Amino acid sequence: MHCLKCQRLIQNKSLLKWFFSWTPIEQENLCAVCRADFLSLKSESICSGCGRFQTTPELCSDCHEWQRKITGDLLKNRALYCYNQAMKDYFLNYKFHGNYQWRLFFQSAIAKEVGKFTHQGWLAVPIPISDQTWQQRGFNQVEGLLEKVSFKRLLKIKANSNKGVQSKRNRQQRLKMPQPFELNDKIQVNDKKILLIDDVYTTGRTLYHARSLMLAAGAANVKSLTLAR
Amino acid sequence: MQLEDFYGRLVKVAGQENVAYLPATAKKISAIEITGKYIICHRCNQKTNKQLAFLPNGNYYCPQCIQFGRLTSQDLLYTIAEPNRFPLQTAPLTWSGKLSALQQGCAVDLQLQTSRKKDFLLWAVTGAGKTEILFPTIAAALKRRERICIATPRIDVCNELYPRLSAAFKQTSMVLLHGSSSMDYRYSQIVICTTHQLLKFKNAFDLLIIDEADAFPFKGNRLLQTAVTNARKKISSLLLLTATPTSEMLRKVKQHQLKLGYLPLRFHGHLLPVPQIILLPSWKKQLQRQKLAQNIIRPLQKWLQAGWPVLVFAPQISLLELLKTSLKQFTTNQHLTTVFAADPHRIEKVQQMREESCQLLITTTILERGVTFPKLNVLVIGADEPVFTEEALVQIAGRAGRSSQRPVGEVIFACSMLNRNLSRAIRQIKFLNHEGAKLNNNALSKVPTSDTK
Ligand SMILES: [Zn+2]
Ligand SMILES: [Zn+2]
Ligand SMILES: [Zn+2]
Repeated sequence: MHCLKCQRLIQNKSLLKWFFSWTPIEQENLCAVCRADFLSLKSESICSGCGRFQTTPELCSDCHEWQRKITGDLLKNRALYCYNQAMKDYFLNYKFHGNYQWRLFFQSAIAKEVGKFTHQGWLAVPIPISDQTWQQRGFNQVEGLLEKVSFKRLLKIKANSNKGVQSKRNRQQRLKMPQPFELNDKIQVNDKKILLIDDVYTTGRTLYHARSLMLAAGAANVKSLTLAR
Repeated sequence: MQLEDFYGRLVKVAGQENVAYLPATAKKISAIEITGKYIICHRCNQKTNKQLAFLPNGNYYCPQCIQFGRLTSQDLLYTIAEPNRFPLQTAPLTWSGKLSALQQGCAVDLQLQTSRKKDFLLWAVTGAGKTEILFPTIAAALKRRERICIATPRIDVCNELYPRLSAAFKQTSMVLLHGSSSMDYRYSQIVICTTHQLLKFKNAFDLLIIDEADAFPFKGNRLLQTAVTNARKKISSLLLLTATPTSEMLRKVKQHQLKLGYLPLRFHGHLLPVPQIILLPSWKKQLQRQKLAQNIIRPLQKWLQAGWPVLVFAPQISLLELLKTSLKQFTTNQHLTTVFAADPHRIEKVQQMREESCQLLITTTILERGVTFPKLNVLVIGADEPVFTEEALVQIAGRAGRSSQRPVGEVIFACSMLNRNLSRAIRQIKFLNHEGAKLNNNALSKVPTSDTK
């Protein structure tokens, strides 16, 4: 198997390790050199609110801002990786150039993290994209990350919303963005524990909107998980 | 989009776009062909398993050439047959230099074979003046109003070629294309580009020249080999330039698929510097403690004091900084720096070295070819590491002694032990020198070629 990013041949994992492990061996699609460029976030050095990389677990300035803006608790977000240069390049290729293969890189890491929640009865809910983006891109980049996970499409983009062009806005414009989502009405959220899943936590605006919709529909608890922060 | 953009090219047009302005002669090709288990991309001609190419919305895309913009099964490619709409030139060559007798011999042969639309391999030692040897051939092609491409796997080589060719063919339209080039595509008679860019062309070139044809990533890359076949016209000439031909190329010469031109002597007539081997069994351990052995410090100090520029090659990026701190300990010279492939200041640093505001540059194999610094001496640390292949070592040694101001240069290969790559590289250099010396003894003789037909 060659690395999907740099085309180098990937050395197979130790045969002994495979022999003595109970799980089937994972097919690696990213080589160790490429993987080392991504910085995974450990709980000691992240903001306890949004999961951002920093030296202490105290709330970051963004989270303080959210505290002033909303009533009730902060959204607890966990991010798997720091949004560093390697991650920026990743999203450029995967999401904007549309290289759907690259969904494979982080599927296992995400499945492991989502698994911790779903074992305790949480529902995984990906953030949707607009129909127009779906047609152009050909895939929802969040659902692409979740191929190994069972999830529920509880959210959809409102017909008149222009969320599609969000990445072209600056921080202030993003924070003013009105509620872009509505519930897929057929499905019950009442008393459910909801784990929202998105690709990147940037300002938090998207996830806070999704949460308020869930809470209004009677969700018991809402947390979120993103690939990067 | 202008009509000219379609001449000899494959241009992507999204399914819904209006193409009413295209003439009836424009050829339409669907970008992705779906066949059984696979999809075939009509830009890069590669086959991909459907599993690796599907999109959830029901389309397929080609992951193999996605760096040029994604092609999906919804897209169409359009091309207009190359019309060679170029001005008639009677004296396109604006270069006033003169070829040596040996270069001239090679150049005449090359010009003859390309005018007959034969494929040609020019095997010329490092510093033979390959680019100048091409000038008469390019000039003749321009007079025939042919379209010409000079492609190379290396960006640095592209960047060196463009100003030289612009100066040599001042009235000819020319464009430089590669991933980090700021120039937009425009229809031009000469195209200078990386081999990847060839994917965007279709039956365009009457003369396609591949410089450094044995270099990564061109060597052994199926995608790029097909790109070459597609970019040249059905009746055209392919010219491969190399100082270190691959066995594949030499096999084709033996089978008479390729004509060979052979130039074993540098343009200034001096022989190639033969590297000196220094055995340093524990250089790695010493370097970790920021130490270097006396027998490499001494020549380095001598070189720096004499004012000669120095290239130091290391096998890994991670050793560059260690080498820099170790070297700084024994030189008062502040003009030393490091450069590697992903270095954001790569181009500036190479430029500083050329302008001699930097005297010692520590680098990886990225500078093994294409770049020329006059009066240079070379040190390779860990020359027995696997990144230093036989070809790489010959190329690296060939950086030295290239200018007529200082046609001899010193080259040191420091290694923990002698290996096959090292002894073969030395053997190759000595062989070329032996051949070169024969020519020197009879400098007026014609260049030998393998043209046996
Ligand atoms: Zn890789
Ligand atoms: Zn925070
Ligand atoms: Zn392709």
